[in-house]
Amino acid sequence: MSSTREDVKRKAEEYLSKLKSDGEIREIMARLQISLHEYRPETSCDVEGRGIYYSLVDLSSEKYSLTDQRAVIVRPLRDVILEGLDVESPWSLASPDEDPHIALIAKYGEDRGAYIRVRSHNRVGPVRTCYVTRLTGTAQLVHNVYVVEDDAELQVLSTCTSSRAALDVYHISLTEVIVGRNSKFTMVMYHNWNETVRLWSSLRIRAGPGSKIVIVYVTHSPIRRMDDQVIVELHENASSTLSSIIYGRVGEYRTETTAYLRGRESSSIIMSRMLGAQRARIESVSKIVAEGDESRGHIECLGVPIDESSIITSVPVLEAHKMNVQLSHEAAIGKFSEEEITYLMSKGLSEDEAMQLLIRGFVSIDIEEIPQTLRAIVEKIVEELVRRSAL
Amino acid sequence: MSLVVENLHVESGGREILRGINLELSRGEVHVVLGPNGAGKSTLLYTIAGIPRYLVKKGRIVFEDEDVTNLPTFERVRRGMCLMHQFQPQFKTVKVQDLERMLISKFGGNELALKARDTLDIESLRGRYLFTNMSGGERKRLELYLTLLTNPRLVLLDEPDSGVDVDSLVKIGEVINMIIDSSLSCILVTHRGDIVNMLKRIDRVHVMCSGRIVESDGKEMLEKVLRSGFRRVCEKLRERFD
Repeated sequence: MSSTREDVKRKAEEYLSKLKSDGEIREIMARLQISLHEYRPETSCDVEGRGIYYSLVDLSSEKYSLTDQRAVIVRPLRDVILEGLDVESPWSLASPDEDPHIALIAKYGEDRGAYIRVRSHNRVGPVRTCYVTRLTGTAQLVHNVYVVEDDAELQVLSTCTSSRAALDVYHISLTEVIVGRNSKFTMVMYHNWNETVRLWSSLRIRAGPGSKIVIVYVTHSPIRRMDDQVIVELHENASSTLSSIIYGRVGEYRTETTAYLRGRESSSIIMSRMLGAQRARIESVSKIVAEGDESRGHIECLGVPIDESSIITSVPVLEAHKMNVQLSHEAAIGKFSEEEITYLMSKGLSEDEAMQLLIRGFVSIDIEEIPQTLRAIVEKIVEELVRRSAL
Repeated sequence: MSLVVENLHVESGGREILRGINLELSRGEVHVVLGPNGAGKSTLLYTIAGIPRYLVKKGRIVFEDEDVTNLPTFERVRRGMCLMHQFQPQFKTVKVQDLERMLISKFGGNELALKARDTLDIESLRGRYLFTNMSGGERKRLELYLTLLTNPRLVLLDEPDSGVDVDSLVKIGEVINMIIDSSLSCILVTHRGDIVNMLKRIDRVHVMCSGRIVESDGKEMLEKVLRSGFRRVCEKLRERFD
């Protein structure tokens, strides 16, 4: 499925030329042309694995150093493309002509991101990636490629953020993850923006036979608009738990999570938790497509409006292509019950404390598969979310 | 005096439920309130605890010399009075350990709750969602433990014996005896004799009918009422007000 670099750019250009009337894309393209030369994606990556700590690696500079490449390779994607180290993985899960944002990445930023490859029989993590936007009026394009070979494990903590001073910024990212047989990939994404940022991100994962995928996405910061997409295709006996926790304030938040159960006995759980306040509009679309024999899927979408001004939409979609699959969903939106609040107050909690306890419980998604190191981080993030909800 | 209830008139849903309740409880005393269904026993406890849907129209509630009639429920708990609910909501997202942790951090934990935790077999419930898919016995045992975590000096027990299996009932009885031994004040509401027969000490028994206390006496009244039912005392009330 992979294409040559020239193919990718040509497809993207052809696609973009057809989209000239699209105002938003035109705006992004104009920004890129203005700032392309001075624009440097601010990208850093920590690797803590196998007892080795790698200091900050600035992937946008020529100087990077990583040792122990027998276990893990962490390099700028640009170098990997230029040196032809892996011509198979980039663009194997996304096509430059399928979406305007992806086309923009293909044309202007196809090599701007991280490449991580975990060798067979190695366990690496958590690798920390961080994309920071600091320049007002720019568009940041990111393309990451992660490969987890057979019988290996990769844990990633992805923390994207913008500085308070960076206004009216676009962050557009594509991450392709190829997970081998009997391997495990865990990713915790924690995004922290400001109310002028527009975000479009897509995470594509191919889960090999017997592999396990765990994704946790958390954001509690205001934003202008967010479109977050997760697409996982699961092969025989592979499983995934895909969860998102959104405490939306001010802007528009849209998540679209899709699990394609391609292989026999593959399975997926999709969980979303949405809290809406301060005129936020949150929409969560969760879809499971069961194509493999005896595949199983469950969707759980819960939303709580914290005040009257927010709008929450939840769309669970189940699609069965075989008779022997099991699919189910549970979707509910409603404020915390008065009965629960009254009960907690009768045990000595003030109304605010009762609400905080309910919010903490609501967003504390119980995922046993999260490794201990990342679990502690998720718990800290949840605490921060609860703290902010009380402000 | 631990608690004084004076001429308490209470409405709920636009209907008068309590019609002039008077009650005095000295520190460390154990009172049992009996009565048929609908007599207003639970309403009395909820009102003392300050549950919002019960509206005090007349009268007052004084706890340890402070008028608490208009205090919100959580402030009353912080002053040392706590209700063990008869029915608890089922929480889908809050785990037992989450509320337990919060109560311990707020009230500091205490030796009685620690002992009760072991007696009531709370360990196996800690990872579960609060009251969700729990048996009657599990719910009551847990509710009693959480009540004690608030470090109360006055414990309001609303039918701790209803819907409970025999083993749980024995454990609950043991813990109420611990409360008695710890010299905490206690009002226990029931309409059955199961639990009261297990208690080490009862200082006063009240019988309620139609929102009023119609008779108050020592423990000896208990046997009489439980043997002959509530009809006789309730008829007495009717005679008095007809």
